[in-house]
Amino acid sequence: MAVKGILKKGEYYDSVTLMLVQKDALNIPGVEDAAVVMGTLQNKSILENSGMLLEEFKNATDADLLIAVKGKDDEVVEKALKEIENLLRKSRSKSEGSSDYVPKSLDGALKIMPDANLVLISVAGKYAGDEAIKALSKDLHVMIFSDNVPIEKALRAKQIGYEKGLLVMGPDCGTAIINGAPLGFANVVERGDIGIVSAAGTGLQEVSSIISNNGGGISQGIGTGGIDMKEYYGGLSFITGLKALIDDDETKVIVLISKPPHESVLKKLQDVLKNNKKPVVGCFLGASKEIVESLGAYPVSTLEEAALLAVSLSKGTSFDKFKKEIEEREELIKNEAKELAKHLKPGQKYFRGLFQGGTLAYETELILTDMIGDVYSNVPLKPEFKLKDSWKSEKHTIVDLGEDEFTVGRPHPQIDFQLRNKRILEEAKDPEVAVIYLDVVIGYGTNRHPIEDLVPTLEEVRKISNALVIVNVTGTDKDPQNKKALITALKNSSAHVYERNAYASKVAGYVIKEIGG
Amino acid sequence: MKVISVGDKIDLKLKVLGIHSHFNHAINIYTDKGLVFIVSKDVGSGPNSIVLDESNLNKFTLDDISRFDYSVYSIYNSSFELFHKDLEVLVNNLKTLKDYLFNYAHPLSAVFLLDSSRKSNFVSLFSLNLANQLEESFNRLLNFDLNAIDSLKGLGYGFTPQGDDLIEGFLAAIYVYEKLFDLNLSSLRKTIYDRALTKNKVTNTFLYFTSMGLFYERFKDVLKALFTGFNLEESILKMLSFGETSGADILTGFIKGLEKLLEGGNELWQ
Repeated sequence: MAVKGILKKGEYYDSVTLMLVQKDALNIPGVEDAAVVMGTLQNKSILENSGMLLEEFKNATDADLLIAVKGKDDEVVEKALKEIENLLRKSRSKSEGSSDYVPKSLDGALKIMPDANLVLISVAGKYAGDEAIKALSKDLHVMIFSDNVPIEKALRAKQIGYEKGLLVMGPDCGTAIINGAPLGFANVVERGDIGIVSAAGTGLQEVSSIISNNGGGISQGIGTGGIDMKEYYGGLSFITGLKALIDDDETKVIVLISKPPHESVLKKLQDVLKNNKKPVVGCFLGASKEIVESLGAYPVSTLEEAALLAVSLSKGTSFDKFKKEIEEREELIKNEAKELAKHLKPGQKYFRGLFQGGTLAYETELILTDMIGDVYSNVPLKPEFKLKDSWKSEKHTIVDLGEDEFTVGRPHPQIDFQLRNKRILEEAKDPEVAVIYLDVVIGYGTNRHPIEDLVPTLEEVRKISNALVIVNVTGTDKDPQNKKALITALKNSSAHVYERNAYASKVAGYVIKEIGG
Repeated sequence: MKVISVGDKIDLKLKVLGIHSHFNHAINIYTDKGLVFIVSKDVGSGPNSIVLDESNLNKFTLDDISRFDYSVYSIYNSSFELFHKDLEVLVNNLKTLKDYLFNYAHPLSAVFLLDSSRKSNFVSLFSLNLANQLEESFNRLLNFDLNAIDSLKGLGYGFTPQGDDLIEGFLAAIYVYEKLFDLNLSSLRKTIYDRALTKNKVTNTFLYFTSMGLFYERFKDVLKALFTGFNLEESILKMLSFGETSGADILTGFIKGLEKLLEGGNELWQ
């Protein structure tokens, strides 16, 4: 074990910068502990307790910055120290360099970018509605990342957008891909002729990624936020998005993604689609085939099917051929599951799904309920299957870790894996658990180090349990996290890795059926 | 550069000695009368602050001080008087304040002292040791073990360490408690301040004014709102935007301190 450090005289940084740099340093392979703090007496005493108080730090003053790293050998530690210095330098030049370009208001931003036609709003929900209305009054499209926007303000913004033909994506819209630019949590996808309107964030990520991974491309990915399809909001943003795609020359195929819309919204969609000539894929998770067909759209029951059908339509393949392929594939999945089930011991019978993405959790819940019966959840399909305590699983369980109860005071689980990692280990200790199911959604805005943050936990699981770990990775090869390396690392930790949530969920469902769980 | 407001504890005949530290929105100046903060308008006023009608001070130099335009400015009153003493209103608003901290404060702020589940955000041995030390020392201070200040002051990351922010919040809690029950604990506040002094001139300045019952505008707005409910959410959010985690850390110290005082009464320090 080696410990080394650097003392920087008279350098000061804000606390968050130091904490984030320290966190990044801990992700460097071989680094066991790191500290980046001011040289106060008290901080020195903590360094001493952590075995990192170096001789040269002893005379440091409150105005000196101390960087200490503990790692497996000198080489690792020196590399980490250099990396920390780089990160600090970058943070400084970033804050200095950007200072001239950080406007404090919409008007200020427009002075810098007078040609901008879309505003991304991410302020406290209370103020987001007014900001959106202000932007719409200037004829700008809007994406509202914030949630908890007062409902009357959100509705007013949507009404203005609808009247003016401007997009109002949100409130609580986490994902969009506009003219190839990923906004919020989004993936780097190929450009093409498939346009998506989605009232489901991870649904949009899953469908756009599968399309891109299977030879198709995206013209626009318009998010609306899940609440838009409720009666109160009347699907105003969804309809505006749909109209935009119908009018868009670059879009040849349209995909609609949502939970089943309210009846009144459905009626409006029927009106809009009445004279549409473009093929439309309707993925209303949990809705009947008839509802989708009433729109003149091709019905699909999963996000995967939506993506694959859109690619087929874009390439001129028929719907019937596509359906046949999907049906034939079912046998393959069953055989795959049969093989996996052989690894389990008697007594292992339960499924435990721990999700980052709400739509993915919902889709898996629909698939499993259909295959193995009711599933307990913090977001159940039926109220009687609501978990008594979301922190504790019961029988077959699916937990959406993106729900408010888990995110208060901590980053979204797509960014911070800690909470789920803890829960994974708890599930692994339960001898009745047969399948631990995880989604890993990569792309912009999400955790940049999924290998470092997840794989060590899966290796722990391997030591204490022989439960099957099934992981679905949503993303593309162009995403910043290096998807290929991620999948290899997951497989090396004995996880069974898939790139389509519905496929992976079916594998899991057949495994449970096979063992009679 | 147009001056909008000048703190009530600034003597404008001061002599500038140099720059202590320089941020985009605040320049901390050494003067013969102590530190003076020259800040942009979004930062807000303070007892020793000069607020300029500027949104960014990145290009500020000391020469600019001689060109300050003092033609129209207000004097900021940093003292805090309590006109409404409704404990029920205060307790309800403290709940709202906590909710806002849980929802909006940085995961690595001292808010883990109010919600222990946030401690899981501290992962390395060093940061856990630090969080544990903050918790242990601050809990001792809450029980008026003033020796705890020695291990709390200067503890934490960054320009204004969390330990100092917690002490500042605690001092504010004592002051508010005095106002609520018409007490005078100024000598206790002075003892805490004297003991909390370090070589960090910026936190010494914050602690000094708070120990005197003088507050920076954003904190004063929260204190006022806690007793009236007026602009509560807005003032909390503004306070939380202060100094990365400082706003949340000060408010944590304040809430914990005030709750302890309301629960324990004068037996705590006697």
